[in-house]
Amino acid sequence: MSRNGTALRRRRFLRLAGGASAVGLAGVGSARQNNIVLGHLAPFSGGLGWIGPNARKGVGLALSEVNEAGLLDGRQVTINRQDTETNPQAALSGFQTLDSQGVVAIIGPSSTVMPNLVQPAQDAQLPLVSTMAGTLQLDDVGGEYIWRTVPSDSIGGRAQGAYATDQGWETMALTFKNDKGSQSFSAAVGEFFQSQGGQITGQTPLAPNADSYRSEINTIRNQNPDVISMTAATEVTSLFVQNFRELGVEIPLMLSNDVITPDFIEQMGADTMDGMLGQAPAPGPAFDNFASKYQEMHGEQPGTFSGSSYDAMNLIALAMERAGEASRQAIAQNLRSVGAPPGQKVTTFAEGKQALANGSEIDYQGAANPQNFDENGNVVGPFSVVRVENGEWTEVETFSASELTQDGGGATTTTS
Amino acid sequence: MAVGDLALLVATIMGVYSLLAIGLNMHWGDTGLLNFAHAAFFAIGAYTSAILTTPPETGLLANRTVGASYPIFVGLLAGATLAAAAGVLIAVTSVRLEGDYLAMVTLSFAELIRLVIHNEGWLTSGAQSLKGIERPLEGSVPIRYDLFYFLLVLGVVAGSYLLFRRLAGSPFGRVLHAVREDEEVPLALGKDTTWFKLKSFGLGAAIAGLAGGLWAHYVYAITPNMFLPSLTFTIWAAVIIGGAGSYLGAIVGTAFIVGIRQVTRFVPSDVPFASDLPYIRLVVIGVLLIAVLYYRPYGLLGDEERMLAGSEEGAD
Repeated sequence: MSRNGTALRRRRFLRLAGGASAVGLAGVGSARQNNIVLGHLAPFSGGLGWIGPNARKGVGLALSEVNEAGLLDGRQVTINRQDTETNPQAALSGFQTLDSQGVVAIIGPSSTVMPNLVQPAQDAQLPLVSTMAGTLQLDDVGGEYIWRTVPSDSIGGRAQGAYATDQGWETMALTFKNDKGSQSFSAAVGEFFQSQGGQITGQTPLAPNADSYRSEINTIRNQNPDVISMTAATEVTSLFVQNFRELGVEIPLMLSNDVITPDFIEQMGADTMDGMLGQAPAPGPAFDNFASKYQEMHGEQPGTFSGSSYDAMNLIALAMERAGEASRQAIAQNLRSVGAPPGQKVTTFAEGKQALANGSEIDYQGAANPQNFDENGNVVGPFSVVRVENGEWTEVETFSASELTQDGGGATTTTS
Repeated sequence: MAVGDLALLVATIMGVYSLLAIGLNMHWGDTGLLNFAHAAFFAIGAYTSAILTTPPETGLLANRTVGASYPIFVGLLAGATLAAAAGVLIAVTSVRLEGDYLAMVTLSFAELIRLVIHNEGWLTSGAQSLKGIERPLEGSVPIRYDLFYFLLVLGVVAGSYLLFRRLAGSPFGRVLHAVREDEEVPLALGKDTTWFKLKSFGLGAAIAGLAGGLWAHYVYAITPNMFLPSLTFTIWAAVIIGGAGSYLGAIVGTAFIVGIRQVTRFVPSDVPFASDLPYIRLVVIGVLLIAVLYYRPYGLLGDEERMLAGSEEGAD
């Protein structure tokens, strides 16, 4: 390549680079005055890349309802969406990008990156409402700028532990996919079971991407527990259950939230799954209505965290409506009062707006959860224990929110 | 709003990654070693410093039982030292391997380190994030903290840049270059090339370890999946785009890569395909990288000669 050609190409490159940064700057300038911009920070790629789209669709449904009903005398809400890449560093960049764009609140990401965002959110005084982080590590850090619309693992863990206790099972083996979220949930189950006098026989981590879990299953079988509590997402669970059946183990097996879907039974086969136990948050009061609207808009059933994301968007909008202004402080100060009782029960933004206009207080009843925030920004809700019977998840017992939060040992005061 | 915060965060990321790129440029640009373990050296520095300065957590998920409260500079030093030791260790066992075999060994070493960090929760908190990492001098600097930290990182980058550039130009560096071009020649001149390669590996790993410490003390919490091989590849891309062999190029390449990752975040969400934007963003980044290499095959600041080293054309 000649020197001359190089220089020309360098110039052309600079032009291209200039064009690219102009596109960037255009983005900065396009936050129009009258619009309210909210951030949505979620994993769209990386390890949890599969849940970002569910959250996006939930937010999208709520967004269209809010804009249709008109927030604060018809101001339009737009969403600035940022990818966490399931990685704390990318999440921080995304967070600061949203902060620099002046968003008034952020619909937030998963447990993987939340610990890195707590301090920045507090420093920026920017409300961050996670729709997917169940980790126990957030149990006592929220209530001012940190909120979540999914129950803490300590609540779901109690449901599983309480069911096992009710069955008269005295010993339990814990096994979990070796990742942050699964460890947290499993620890919560074990903690509550022990507080009720049960005994944990062992804790067996399951490496993701393994070819077989036979040796782990044999380890667990040799512990001879009355019940096995297994926490993992679909891929690990399906291999585990397959190996479990192949080895002919007869111990009751309790599975985790992620696999409590009709699809999972279909994939595994009704015979394989027969008698398996699991627990899941009971659908929120507004779930049926939400699910049919979601089906209409997106042509599919709501996925994991769709409902909690729908709820987060509605709660943020209602908090602004109650305050009469779109600011970070207004949202932070009003989230609890629109979510928790007392007040007129509402299930959509339009209903809530109407009630607020009539001078009532409101109590938003969500699609994923009743969304009654406690003083630490956590929500509780009923959990159902389900069992596979004739190829369907069938409810066998439901624990109310108050049963799951009453004192008597347990995991409500945990971790820093 | 907080545009300044964003600019400082991006600049700090650029600084930390620049340190990684400087280290990798010593390995690849100067010595011709295919090191794919850079994320591991970064992780070793980050975890060593964090563990030495952060006492164990308490609570249900707190599995870490090891931790101390040494001053942060002790942590940073120890992190750099341990990373250097790891670099020398891996080099001792494998530096005689040629090109792609060394790449495979280093890549698996990096994964090994990451999996150890992931699984040995008693030491590293495992998947649960090592949290509550202190920031140096927080609350006692007279300027904005983010600005202070950026200046600190900038100072370290400037110092490392000068030091490594000087090394590259010294007799030591000239031997490294000779090893890179054709190892037989310095051997014939009586140079112990293996020993030179060990030093190169150790120095580059040390600076990566220091970068890890600086990063850990900035982000409050670290987890194993911050150290995936994709980080190593990003730094490789930075070095190649900047121009292998040029330390300034390593810094410019890093700024370019971190820059486009950030600039693409500003594409507005309400454009066509926006629903898939997060994925498209990564595609755009890839296309830009390809475009740069198409027009500048030896990088933005690299020299043609370095690129042709060892090839038929270069031998002329």
